[in-house]
Amino acid sequence: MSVNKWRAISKGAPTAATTFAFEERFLKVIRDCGTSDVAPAELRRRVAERLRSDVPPTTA
Amino acid sequence: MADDAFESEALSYIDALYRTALRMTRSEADAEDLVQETYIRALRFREQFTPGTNLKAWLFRILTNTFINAYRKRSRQPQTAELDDVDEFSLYRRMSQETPGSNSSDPEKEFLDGIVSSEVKEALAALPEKFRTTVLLDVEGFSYKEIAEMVGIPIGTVMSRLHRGRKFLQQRLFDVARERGIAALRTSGPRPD
Repeated sequence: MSVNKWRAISKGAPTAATTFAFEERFLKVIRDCGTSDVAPAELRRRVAERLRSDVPPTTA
Repeated sequence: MADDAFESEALSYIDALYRTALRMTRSEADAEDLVQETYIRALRFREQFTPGTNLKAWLFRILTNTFINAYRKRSRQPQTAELDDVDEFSLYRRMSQETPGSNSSDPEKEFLDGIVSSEVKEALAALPEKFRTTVLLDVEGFSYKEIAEMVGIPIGTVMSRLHRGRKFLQQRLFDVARERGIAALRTSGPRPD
């Protein structure tokens, strides 16, 4: 492939740096959106009670 | 670690444990059971925890093991895509191809800004299980080494699963965006034939 042809093809291609920056921003969106849920208040209350109890309950 | 400090710190991770359990089990009721079971086991085996080490990672390890041993078999399995064809998917490249005449100065930013939280959660839940647990632990901020120890796989496998899992998320969210015509995709000019 000639240098000119290679230049023409690569002119519109994203650079590694721009791709990397985009991937980083994408991951931040995933992390921000994926960590927005909170536990139900009732579950939090039940767990807090168990943690406060002196004797750990047994499981089946 | 004093009892109060242990309890207080352990409880501070309940949101992270719950949302991870929710994506693992795909059921609110099962997620609550899984989180409760995790804390019960943490209390029972509390003496095995070394004060000064990572309590969050310890709790997540219990959560992951409990899920693998007890919940995985009965968790609902929706239709999941195979990941064979996602390795080469590049969201950035697709964005560049799909928005050649975009009126936006930053179509990639518009795309990212247009992603809705519920779409991300659906995409995470749709990941095949083998990849989902690894991706969920990554989303919660654990290192490759910590994930490898929790799931019981080599670090190289963690990296491979994360790479493919992220590509799956990119492809899924790109497809959703294209279907809904959001953000940059809506502002693009006529596409060449």
